[in-house]
Amino acid sequence: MKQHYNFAYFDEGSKREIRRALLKGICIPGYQVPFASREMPIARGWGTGGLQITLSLIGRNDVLKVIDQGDDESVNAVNIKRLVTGVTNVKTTDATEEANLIQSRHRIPEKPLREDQIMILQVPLPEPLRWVEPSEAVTKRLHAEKDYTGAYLILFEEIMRYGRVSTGADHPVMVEDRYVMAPSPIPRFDNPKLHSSRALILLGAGREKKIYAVPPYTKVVSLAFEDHPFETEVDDSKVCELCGAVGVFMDELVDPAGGPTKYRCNDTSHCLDRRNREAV
Amino acid sequence: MSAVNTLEQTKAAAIAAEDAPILRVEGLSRMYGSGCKYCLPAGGRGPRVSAGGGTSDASKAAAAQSAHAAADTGSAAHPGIAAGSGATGNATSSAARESGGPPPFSSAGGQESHESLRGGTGVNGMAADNNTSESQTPPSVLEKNWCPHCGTVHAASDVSFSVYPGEVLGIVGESGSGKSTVMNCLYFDDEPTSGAAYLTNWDEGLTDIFSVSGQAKRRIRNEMMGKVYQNPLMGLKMRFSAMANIAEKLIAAGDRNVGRMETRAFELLEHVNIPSFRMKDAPVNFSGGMQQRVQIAKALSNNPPLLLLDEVTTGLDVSVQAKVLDLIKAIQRELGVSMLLVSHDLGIIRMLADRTLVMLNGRVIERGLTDQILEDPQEPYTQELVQSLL
Repeated sequence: MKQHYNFAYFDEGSKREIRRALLKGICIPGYQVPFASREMPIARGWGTGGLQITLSLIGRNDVLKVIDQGDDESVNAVNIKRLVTGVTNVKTTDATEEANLIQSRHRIPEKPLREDQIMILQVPLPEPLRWVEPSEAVTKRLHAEKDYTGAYLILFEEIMRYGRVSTGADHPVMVEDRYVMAPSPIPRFDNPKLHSSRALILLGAGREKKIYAVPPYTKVVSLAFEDHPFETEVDDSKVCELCGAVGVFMDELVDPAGGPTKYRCNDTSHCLDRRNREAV
Repeated sequence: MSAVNTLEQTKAAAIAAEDAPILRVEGLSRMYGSGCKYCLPAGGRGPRVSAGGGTSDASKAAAAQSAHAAADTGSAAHPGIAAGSGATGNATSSAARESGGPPPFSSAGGQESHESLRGGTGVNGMAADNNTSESQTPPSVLEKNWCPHCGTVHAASDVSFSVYPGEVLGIVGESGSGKSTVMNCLYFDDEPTSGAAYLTNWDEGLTDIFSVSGQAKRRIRNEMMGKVYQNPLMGLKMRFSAMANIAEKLIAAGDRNVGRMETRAFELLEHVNIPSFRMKDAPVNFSGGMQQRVQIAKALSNNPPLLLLDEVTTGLDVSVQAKVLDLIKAIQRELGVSMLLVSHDLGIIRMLADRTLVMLNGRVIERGLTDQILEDPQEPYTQELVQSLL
């Protein structure tokens, strides 16, 4: 194959700069490290943060998995995989256990991750306090002074309005008792997977030019009140119509014709794996 | 330093033991600009040197750089003595105490030397049963509070006062006189250029609250003070419910129990007459008077010992003004909160304040019991102000 680009698209200097930001992020769990987000061949807001991390880390022997909304085969996931293989020729996979780099939007795989894997999450809004404070200068100071009133205030307001915490995704977490972090729009169901994760978790926001990280075995606690403890949204009465799994994050398929609502595993790779095992 | 001074200190300490000020502000200044300390009239930069006994502000400024040195030289009219003798004449009047007896917390020389810097107070302090007019005439170099040579604005200059438990201290003055600047500095919305403030509730009044870390400042602000801004936009999160607005201060002070905070917010909002069916609405949908009442409830949420009220009724119509004022009066009576009340409206000051400071061009020009200020104003500006009341 004729190479039009340097290996992994970036020049080596760019890779270094991003890796340096990553190292700083790992050293200060949950702290948002600014970095020089590059122009990418995909638009900002479509996963450029995650993509830049992936490209700065990937080597010839790595195996890549890309998920979008739990799905390995959605357009965004496929396009990102194509782009990365186009500039690196690395192997890609759908199986969580085969991959050592997993770039994802909206989900952490159902299958437990291992120490030799790196989870890369794409982040649209890295600042958990942005809804209460529009100024970056002020939020930086709030983080520095560990004033997370705003993050709790958002949850309190939801309880006032809806009677319960209604964050569908991106429920803020406290990392290592210091920084409050936006875990990217993963469902609340995935929040507990961040806690003491075996895999290194890296988060990149391309548009907002921020990188942050949760190193392996780090304490991650979802924000909650004493009388409104943190709860995940999974309800064990729902069963996947394809593989029969329970207690996993489901997609809800509403029949417009009025038929019964069906549920399927949101993590397609996990669902497929279960069915393949059954077939054997 | 004479023996008399020590005696006065002991007296002041005795008074302090009964009734220590809850807030003590010393020489608070806020400058905007390159920070001239009154340029030379010839256009040259640098402090004007004066050998006199500290009557001119320039010399005060110079002395402020080396407070200890000034104290050691023993300036001519030692205000510590003069004002102290005033206190003897009228020991029960907090106004007299205000006028400059050595503050109760300090025994250190630094504090005393600061008092010695307060130019003319000594002379006027003699007439302690009258209000003290402060001959703090700004240097002629300045145009109002602006230095024409370097363009520096002296928004507040050397403002000192104390607030005692349960009292309402009024600050009155025309717009631009530095009232709000003082208030903003005290609530850490602005940073003073120089000066110090001590709160009894913070480190027993031993530490200057301007010198502590940002985190500590947040604690002081969230747990020991409440502020009501003139503009509700500043004090409230307009798109969060009234309940959440009150909870914000409770959360900031470390409460993590929704039920408890909700009860407290309900109680407070009821206290300020917000109907219960509107408590979960956002203040953006409230009338100005209601917003102001939510602000008051928010400021009170942590039972702060000190409440800062900045032009709370400006912009409200008269009947709503009356309601807000009634509420403040009731809170003061029921909860015994100390208040610092800034207003340009002498009517409000007359109604609420026990003691009053008059500010002009960033300086305190007169201080005393509110009635005295209104009945017997000493400074020409105050006289003008009182005249215009009628």
